[in-house]
Amino acid sequence: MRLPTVNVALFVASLALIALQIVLMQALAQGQSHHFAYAVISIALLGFGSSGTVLTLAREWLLPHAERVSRLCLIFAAASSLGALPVALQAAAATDFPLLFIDVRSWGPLMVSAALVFLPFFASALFLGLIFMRDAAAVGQRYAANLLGSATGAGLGLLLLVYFTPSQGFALCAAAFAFAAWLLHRSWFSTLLVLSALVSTALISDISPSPYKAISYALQLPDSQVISDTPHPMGRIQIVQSPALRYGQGLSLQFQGSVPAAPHIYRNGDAYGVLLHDTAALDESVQALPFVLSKPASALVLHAGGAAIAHVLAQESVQVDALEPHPVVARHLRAHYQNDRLTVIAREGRAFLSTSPSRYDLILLPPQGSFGGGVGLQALQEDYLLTRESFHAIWNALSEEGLLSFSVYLDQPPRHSLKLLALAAETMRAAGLSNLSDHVAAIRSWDMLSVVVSKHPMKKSARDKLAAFSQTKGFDRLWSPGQGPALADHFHVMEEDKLVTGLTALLSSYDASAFYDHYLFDVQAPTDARPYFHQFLRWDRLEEVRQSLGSSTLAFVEMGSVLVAMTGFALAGAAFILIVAPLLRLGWAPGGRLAVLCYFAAIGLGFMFLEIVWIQRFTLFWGHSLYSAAGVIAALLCGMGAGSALSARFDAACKTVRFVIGGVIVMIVLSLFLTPPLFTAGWIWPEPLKWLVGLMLLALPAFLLGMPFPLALRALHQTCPQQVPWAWGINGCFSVIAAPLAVVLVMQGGFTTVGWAAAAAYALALIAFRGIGR
Amino acid sequence: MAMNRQRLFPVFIFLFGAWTVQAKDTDQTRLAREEMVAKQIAARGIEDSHVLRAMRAVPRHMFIPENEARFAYDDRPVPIGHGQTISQPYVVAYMTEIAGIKPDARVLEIGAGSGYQAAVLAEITQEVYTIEIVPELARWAASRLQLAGYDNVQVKQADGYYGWAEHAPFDAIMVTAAAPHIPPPLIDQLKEGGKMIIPVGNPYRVQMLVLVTKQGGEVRTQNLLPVSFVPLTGGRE
Repeated sequence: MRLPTVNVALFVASLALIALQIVLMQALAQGQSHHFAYAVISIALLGFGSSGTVLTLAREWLLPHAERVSRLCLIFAAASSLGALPVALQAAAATDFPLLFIDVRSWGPLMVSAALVFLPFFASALFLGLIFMRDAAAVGQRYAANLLGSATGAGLGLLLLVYFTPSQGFALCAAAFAFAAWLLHRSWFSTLLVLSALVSTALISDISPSPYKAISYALQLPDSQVISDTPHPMGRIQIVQSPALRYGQGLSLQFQGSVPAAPHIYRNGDAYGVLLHDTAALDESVQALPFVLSKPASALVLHAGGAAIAHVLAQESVQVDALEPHPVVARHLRAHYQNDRLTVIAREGRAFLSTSPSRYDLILLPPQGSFGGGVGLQALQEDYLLTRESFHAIWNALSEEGLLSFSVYLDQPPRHSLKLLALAAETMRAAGLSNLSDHVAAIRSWDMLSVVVSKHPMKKSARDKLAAFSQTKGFDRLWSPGQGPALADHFHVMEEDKLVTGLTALLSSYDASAFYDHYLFDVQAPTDARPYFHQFLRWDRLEEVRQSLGSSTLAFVEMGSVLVAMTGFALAGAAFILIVAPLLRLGWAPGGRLAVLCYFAAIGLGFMFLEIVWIQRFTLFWGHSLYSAAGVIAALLCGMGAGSALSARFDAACKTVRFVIGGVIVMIVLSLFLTPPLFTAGWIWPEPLKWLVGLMLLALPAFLLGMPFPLALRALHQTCPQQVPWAWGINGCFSVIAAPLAVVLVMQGGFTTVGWAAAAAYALALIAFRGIGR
Repeated sequence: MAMNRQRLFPVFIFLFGAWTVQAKDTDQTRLAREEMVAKQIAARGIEDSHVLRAMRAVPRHMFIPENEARFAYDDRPVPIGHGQTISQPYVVAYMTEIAGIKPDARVLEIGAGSGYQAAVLAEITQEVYTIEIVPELARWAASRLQLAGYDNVQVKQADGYYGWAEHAPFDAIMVTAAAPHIPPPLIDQLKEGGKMIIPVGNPYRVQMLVLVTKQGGEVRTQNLLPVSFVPLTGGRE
């Protein structure tokens, strides 16, 4: 059977669209930040919603010219990918995040960037919508081509990130759009565009990152040079060397030696780690605390990109397992620290801890927080290493005499440090320990805190070592085991030492919960269901924060949360306009319109909620968020493609939709209850089996999820064809709104709440379908 | 058509005026400075007469790139290029007051940036040394200081880690380009009884001022009240 050319063009265009999205996300993360990428892409994806609005308003004109317009859309998508996106990246790089709140002009580059990024997405979505509208009777096949192209594009997008720079990726996506146009009509212009795009991949240069990125600061230093640069889907890794790039975090002010220069590792332009050899300065820093208290025979370094490997290897005869989730960094660590006592494992800490039977005398967490405190951009970034469940696994991986150690940059009021201490305290309580004070030692320099937590009560000898070390090096003894805050404010005086009062309360069984309640910030131990370690602001206490901090309150509002909230509001406002505008033409008939709005909004929201929940669940099972996102999206899109193609054989009747959506709801509910115990049991399975089981689990729901959209679109086409593009637009708008809405739901009730919201959304769709086409 | 052009001219002036600000001290900039000192600095509790006089005297707008110069006397940090900023006027005044600089003091600044902090110090004392590692910024600071007439400031383009041993010891060291560790040579070059001031944190958010003192060979630090940047409104933090 010969495939219709339009299906091939749809496949290629969809492939280019998803690949472009992946490349753009990475490009914006490299040039500016991950959060900026999220905001810009969300706005750009409104292209789907706005294409529906344009198609509804101009339906009569567009349908007779569908052939020509669809070609023009693809050519425009190609041209804008090639011309507009590099400019959008430069505009994005010019934005300084904190300035957005004080200088209205800083919004300019952000808006220019979003507007330029919008162009290819709008043009390609217009092409897809136009084809769906024109061929609504065969929408099952068309939608299947779209989904399968998207699934392929997701894989190709990741490959582009491995072998090409983002600018080259844009050019290759542009070539694919132009090729889709050429498939529809083999004109000289589309041929020329394909060739131009391909040639430009060889000529196009890399885009400079924002001057506010850490790597930009490093590259300004005299004699600095990039000694290694490796693109990767998990983030581009660059290593910069300069005589002025040093590492001496937590250093004693009594130190008389020199702080050595060391190559620094950057991931997407942000500071990631350091390659150190000379550890003399580290021996004089608060980070030396675990080695002062014990002589471990074995150590586990979690997320080992930092200096900890060098520090542990400098101790005599310690066997070191170092876990580094980024494979490129892991490779550099192996090459840099060539040592028989070191094994570098390229895995996420959680994935390793859940499967390894090894026990360690010392487990080191990576330093947390940032020097001087950050601006809260990480507030909504999930971190599965810093949850109760993770600390429980860490505790179990300690030997009987084992120590857990972590260092954290000080912030005011203390938040990172207290949340880490809360995690440690909750873990000890869960392990059945009662007198927690005997198990903790903590020292502080002017900018860094180091804590050691022991499985067994620490003895007097440990107290003596702690006292001698802190006195010689000029560190404050924030917590002496069994004694509490002895000499906490001797060398480094704090105005109001909330860290000491917080630590005292957290280690007391009676005061901990009262402390959590009264503290102005959220320092409770996070869980896997709400894995937001870096989120501290309590919206329920905002008024009290305002009363306490006065006009400084804004400085403590985490920018990550603000950015998501602002993006959510902007998307909701734009979506409202895009959904209401077509009604000016369509008119408002309460029954049918409301049903179409509810149905397509519900399946848009429901699908995205489900995707977000499943990516979270599979992140823990498959071991990394990138694997999970790639696996879940590819499996869903492939399964949905098959489901969509098969839906063409069914009547678009109530009975069919009831069966399909009912099945989806059952699948969602089952997955919410069954996946947690199944995945816990399956952590020890071999990786291929985990992937096989995971993909099988996704296959059936994915197959069903591919049907609600084409079935309803076909039903609508039979009764109210003029509403087809409106429905397409509604679905596009709500798919985009779903992301910030899901974040709000996770913050409130965890990922399970989002799962239930997905089931509720599909239930609403089930009810609303009865009114479609009425 | 001519009419349209006439109408457009004021718009053109409004839009591009910022790029053509003159780097001269005029009655208008002096007035803006008086207002800055009264509303942003003295009103927030800075009392040191030397500091207030210095803040009134230094033409801040001359240390800011012309496209940003219209914000020179606003209560905010201002970007100066290369991902750097010139601190909010109050933070500059507060740091200078804490340093307790006497007219005969020898002062070292690490991280000249725009050169403004050095100029403020140079209004109080005769010997100011400033080091900037980024060559372009070092050139900019030197040219601005010269233009504003501060010949008692020596600018060096170098790695601030090593300090300036030839002119050590210093009564005060201001580390405006803070690193996550205090370089040992700087502690060594701080005079017994001297003060080192380090602002830590994002200039647009919260900055903790850390005061480092050296007394009897023992080095101690003190975290002073955090100074948070407050957009659009004043008020003591």
